[in-house]
Formats: sequence, C-alpha cells, structure tokens
Amino acid sequence: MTLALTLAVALLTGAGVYLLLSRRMFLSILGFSLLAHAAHLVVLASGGWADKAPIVVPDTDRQLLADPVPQAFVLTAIVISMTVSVYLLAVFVTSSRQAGNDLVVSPFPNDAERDADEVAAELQGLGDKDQAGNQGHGGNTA
Amino acid sequence: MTWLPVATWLQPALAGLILWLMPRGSSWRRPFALIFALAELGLAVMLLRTTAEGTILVHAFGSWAAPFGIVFVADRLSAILVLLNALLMLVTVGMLSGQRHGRRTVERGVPLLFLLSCGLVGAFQTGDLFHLFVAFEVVLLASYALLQVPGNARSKRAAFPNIAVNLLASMFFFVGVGVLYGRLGTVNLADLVVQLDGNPALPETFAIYLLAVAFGTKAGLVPLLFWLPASYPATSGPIAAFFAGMMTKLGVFALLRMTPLLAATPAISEVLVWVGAISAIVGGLSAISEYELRRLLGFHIVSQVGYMVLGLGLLTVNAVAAAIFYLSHHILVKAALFFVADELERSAGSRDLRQIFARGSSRPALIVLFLAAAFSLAGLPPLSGFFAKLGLFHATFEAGAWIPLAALAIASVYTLASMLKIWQLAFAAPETDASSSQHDSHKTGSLLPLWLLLAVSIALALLAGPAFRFAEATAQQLLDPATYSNPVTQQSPVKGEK
Repeated sequence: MTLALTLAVALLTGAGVYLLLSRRMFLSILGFSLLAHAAHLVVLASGGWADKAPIVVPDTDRQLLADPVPQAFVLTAIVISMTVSVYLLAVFVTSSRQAGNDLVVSPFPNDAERDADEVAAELQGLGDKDQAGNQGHGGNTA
Repeated sequence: MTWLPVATWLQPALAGLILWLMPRGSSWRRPFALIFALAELGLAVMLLRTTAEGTILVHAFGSWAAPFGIVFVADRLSAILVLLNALLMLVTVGMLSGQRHGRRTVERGVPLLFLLSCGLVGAFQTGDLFHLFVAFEVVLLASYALLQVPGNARSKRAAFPNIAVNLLASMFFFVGVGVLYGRLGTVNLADLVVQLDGNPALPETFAIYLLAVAFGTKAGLVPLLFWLPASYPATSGPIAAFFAGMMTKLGVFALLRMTPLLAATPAISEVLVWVGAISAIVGGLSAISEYELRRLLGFHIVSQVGYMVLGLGLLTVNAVAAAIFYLSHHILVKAALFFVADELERSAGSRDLRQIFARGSSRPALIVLFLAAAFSLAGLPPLSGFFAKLGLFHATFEAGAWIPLAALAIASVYTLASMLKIWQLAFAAPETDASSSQHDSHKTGSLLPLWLLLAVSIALALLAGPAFRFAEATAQQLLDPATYSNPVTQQSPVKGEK
C-alpha cells in the first residue's frame, strides 16, 4: 500500500509540475489540482494506512486503525484547494475572454510595451477626476 | 481574560460580514468601518496590556486540552502584531474614501480588508500549526479578492502569477505540516518543540525546511520574490499600503513563531541568514532601477524583509529583538510611504515617477510625511528606522556574521539612493504649471490618518529604549521554548485570569 501511495504521489507530482510549467493558464490550473492531490495523499499517508476497520467500533485492535486527524486535515485542505481552484478558473475565464487566448502574461510589462490607453483605463478605475486634463502626458517619455 | 484573543479574532470577521451586507451605496459603511476598527484597536490595547508583563493567554476551544484541541495563544509577539494590525486597519479605512478612490473600492474593499484582518489576527494568535495554515488561506483568499478591487487590466494580469506562487507555497506548507504530524504526532506549536526535543531526524528537518520555504516565499524573499512587486502596485493605493504594511509581515511572523524549531535545525537558520542578506541586496538593487513608484517600493519591501529574516536567522536574543523592532517600525513606515505614493499617483494621474515629476513639490504636508517616512526607512538618526538598523547591525556584529553585515550596509546605501531618486523626481524638481492646477481638488484634512501613523512611528523613536527592552523580552519569550510551551501544554485555561 505504501508503495502504491508513493508511486501515486510521484506520478501526480510529476504530471502536476509538467502541466504547471506550461504557459497556457488552463493547463497550469490543472497542474495545481494534481499537485494538490499529491499533497493530500502525502498528508493522508502520514496517518497510517489501515483500511480494515472504521474508527468508532470499540475494542478493535489499534493496529487496524488509521489516525483520523490527518484525514480531517486533508478534508479541510480539499475544501480550501477547491475554493482556490474555482477562483483560479474564474481568473482564467475573464482573462481568456479578454485576451482571446489563455496564455499567462508577464505582470512585469516593459514600460515601452505599456500603451497610454491602458494606463488611462487603469486610472479611470482609481476614480481620478483630473484624468482628462492630463492625458497629453500619458505617452512614453522614455 | 482568555476570551481576549478570541474576541480580537472574531471582531473583524463579524465587522467584515456586517459591512458586506450593508446596502449598496449606503453612506454608513465608512463610519461603521471606522467604529469597528476603533473597537479592534481597543481590544488590541487590552491584549497588549495583559500580555506585557509576560502573561501568556491560552484559550482552549471547547476546553479540549492542548495537544488534542485547537488553542489560541497570545504572547507578547502576538499582542504587538495584533495592535499594529488594528492601527493600520484604522488608518487604511480612514484613508480610503469614496471621493478619492471610487465608491466601488470602498464598497468591495472595506469588508474584504476586515476579513483579511481576521485571518491575520487568527494567524498571529494561533497555537496550532494546522490552524496557522488555515489562517494563511483566509488571508490569501481575501488578498486575491482585494487585488481585483480596481477590476482593471493591470490587476487581472497580476492575478494569476500572484495566486500561482502563493498556492505553491501553501502546498509546501501543507506537506510540511503533514510530515511533521506523521513523525511527531502533533501540530500544536508548543508540543512540537517538546516532541522534537532539539534533535530532529532527516524527515523533520525536511518538513521544517518546507515550512521555511513556504513562509519565506510569502514574505517575498529570494528567490521567489517577483510576485510581490508585481502584485502590490496592481491594486488600489490604500489597499496596497495595507498589504505592504501587514501582509508580508505574516511570513516574517510565521518564521519568528517557528524560531524554536529553527534553533533545533541550525543548517536552516544559517540558510535564512544568507537568504536574508541576498534579499536585502537584490531588493535594493532592483528598487534603484525602477521608475514605477509603487513597484520601486515593492522591491524595497523585499530588501527590508531580508533585514528582518537575517536578524531572526541569527537566533540570538539581541538579533531577534532587533528583527521584532524592525518589523514594527517597518509596518508603520512602509505603509505611510505607500499612502504618500498613492497621493502622488492620483494627483499626477500616472504611476510612473517620470510623469509624477514635481507633483509633490507644492504640497508641504506631503513633503514632510514623505521625508519623515523615507529618512526613517533609510535609517537616519532621529527616527525609528535608525534605532531599528542600529540594533540589527549591532546584533549582527555581535554574532560575528561579517559578510551579512556588509550586505546590510550596502543595502542601506541602496535604500537611501532609491529614496533620493523619489525625492529628486517627485518633490525636489521645480513645479510646472500643469502640476499646480490640480491641487485644489484635494482637501487639506484628508491626510489626517497618515499623521497618526507618523506620530506612532516618531513615538517609537522617542521611546526607543523601552520599546527595545520590550522587544528583547519578546525575543526571550520566543527563544525560550519552555516559557511558551509550559502554559500551553500544562493546559490551565485559568492562567492569566485575574
């Protein structure tokens, strides 16, 4: 059982990291899910792997029992990772709809790449009333 | 008094919920938020006064004894951070106004800020490693949402890298917790130290290493630092200021909390010293080359987090005390700089220093605020940063860590240089006609919360002696596992009851 678990963790981690390194956002998100499953299995394994007896029956041999605490940890972590996955998918949907593709873009655009329109649009969001009078300065001076 | 840690934790959660449920467009949201923030500040002051004498408050949920149930433990370090969090919360809510940042920012941002605060306060006071993980996730989820408050192309672009890096770090954290539990059979922080008993085997060392990597990443240390300067400028100004003040400190706090574990694994603490030194230099150099104001300040955070981590990695009482003092000073000053940056950006209508050019030169209040914060950060004498740096340099000198000491000194020069860069471009240049026409739209009273931040920072400098002694007492509490563990594991929930 331990060997099977180890192999499963290795496989999930390998596949997860491979997908994560993709520039396509959707594949990266899948990669994160696989990595999360790998992490969950590791923690589950730390509680022992006894699938022979339920934990509530009195007078069972303790050797047959798995520790329930890591199971509780994993349950919590599954909820959290699902929430984050949903959020990531929402990010994926909005950004791919906007850009027409699902490539991850650098959060560090070179200043030359940033067009004045985008800066203006950003500042509209900041609620700046004086924006209109300032648009002439918006271009690149570099 | 054991309800106090729980109260400081639940109050922001309830406040966030109430503020969220308020009807759209309600003009009561901000006054209520201010009242909630003041209430939190009051509770935090009570907490500090209770723990100042060395009492450790332990609240066992459902009266389950320590290693089995989840406990909240408030010691001096928790109290300091809960207090600073409440203070920064008050200032942030004060600076966030619909007039200046848009109604939408207030409506969405303020409730989320309270939820973020709830996660932070939970993390600062938990006595349980797994609950620390959950608190981290609460903070992160709130911060992902806060990053999207402006809802523009910039914030959308910053979303994925930010989440990806933090998610990866969370997985490291989770596996670390799992391995520690598998080996030691406990996730109670106090009990972990007892069970570890100073000699970790390879799996434990590996788990502690995973935790250090996770916390270091969330603090913005080398090598995984670029998410930080990429994401902080993407959100609204005051929110970014709160992030800059408190969020990165969460990682540093978690590292401070695990100093007893680090003490058992000298190899890892040594790595932290070097990582801190390298971060200080890399962050400082990157900051100098930046022209975008908030990104420049973001790289600065990396540099200064490096200082703190270097201090705590040395693990001597003086060094850890200096790191704690530096942490407190940095929360105040860094947030103040981000608020000033927000003011400049909005008056110039640009994020770039070359376009902000001279916008600050006719606003004396802003000049004073900037100079005080910048000089404090650079470590010039009468301000809190001087004492923070002096303490850290002294402790590094004492520990005989010559190369890290040199790195700190070089990084200081970089800090000063990048602050001078902002000064030259934004304030010192002669004002042009275009910049003078815009000032009347800003009300004079609007910087009031910022003065409060500055006043606390100056108070920290004036009372540097007592503050440092308090930091030393905090460090002693952290480094002596028995003082933290005994009240927790002996499980007397009445402890500290008066």
